[in-house]
Amino acid sequence: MSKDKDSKRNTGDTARRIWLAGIGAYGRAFTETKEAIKDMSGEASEVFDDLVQKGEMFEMVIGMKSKEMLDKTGVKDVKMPDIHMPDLHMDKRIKKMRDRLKASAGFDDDIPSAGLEARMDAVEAKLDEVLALLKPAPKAKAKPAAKAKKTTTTRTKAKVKSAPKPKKK
Amino acid sequence: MAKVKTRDRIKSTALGLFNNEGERQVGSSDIAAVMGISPGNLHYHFNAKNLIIVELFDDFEREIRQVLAAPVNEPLAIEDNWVFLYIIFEEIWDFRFFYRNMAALIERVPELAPRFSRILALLQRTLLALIGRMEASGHLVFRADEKNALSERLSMHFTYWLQYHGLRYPNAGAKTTINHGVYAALVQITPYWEGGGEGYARLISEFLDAQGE
Repeated sequence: MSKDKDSKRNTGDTARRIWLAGIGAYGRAFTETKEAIKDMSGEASEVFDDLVQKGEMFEMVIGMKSKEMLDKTGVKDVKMPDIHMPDLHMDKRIKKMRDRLKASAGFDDDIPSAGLEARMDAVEAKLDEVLALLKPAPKAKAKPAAKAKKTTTTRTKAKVKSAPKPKKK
Repeated sequence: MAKVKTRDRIKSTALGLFNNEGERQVGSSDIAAVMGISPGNLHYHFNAKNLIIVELFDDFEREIRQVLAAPVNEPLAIEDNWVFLYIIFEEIWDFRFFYRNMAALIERVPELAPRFSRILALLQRTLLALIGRMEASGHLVFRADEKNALSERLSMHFTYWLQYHGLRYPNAGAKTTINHGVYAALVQITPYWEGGGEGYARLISEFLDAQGE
């Protein structure tokens, strides 16, 4: 029984690989593909693996164009449930790839490993210290006010000074 | 903690405004106005616009390096190349104001020049590794020095594509711009494809069509 199951599984897998190899034959004459498949003896040849790889890529493209496209290829003998269609949605593929890139992230030179938040916290802390130092003491409050008054007076004077200029006309 | 959030909000608001309005057209007061905070509050976090730009560059550098480092460390399957190139463009798109007026920006913030240069060098190394693996697997065939020249050309393509496409098709959306950028990058590989590249050219053309652009 289990042998039968294994045999079925292997047959299914082989069918899928042949299917993939078949559609992966783009750019090569169909006869050449047939020759490559004929030449296989037991173990999968490099040519076949190459075609399978290309076929997977092509299958993905076809899948993206929906089942109609599959019908057009005329390959109706392949049972769809046996074919594992790759994740075809581009956004999902991008997300998947991004996750993979994050997982394998390796910085190869001089980017500091300290997180941005840690650096921001350090800067914030320094700012707080500086601001605390800049805060005037309650006693000193009167003096800046007086200074401000003086400044205002000077500005007014300046305005008065500049006022006569148009009169010279 | 609230301060950290404000800082992050300043950066994300600035990034959005720089990308959509153009960095030169946006001042610190504009950022504060959009956020609904006082210019003084913004000044407390960033006392010059250039500081916001430099911190945004930190973010961009960290993200793009994360992406570019991956295939150098670990080979990608051939069908993942489209997605990988798409992600590189997506990173550039997210921080596109750096690329739109690169020369003017570098003139005003010179410290970005060597950092940009290192990113471009890493991009070229990554692309060289990518096409090198395709050569090793027998998909591509190069004569002497062609591989380096191609990686340099592709690196230039990634650097200036958004600028070119933005001028040529000002109303194109992000996905269209990026997918066409990926296609235009992959087309450059066709002449080196083993056996003439007819099938490969058809395949990437099909892939572009499948994106619905």
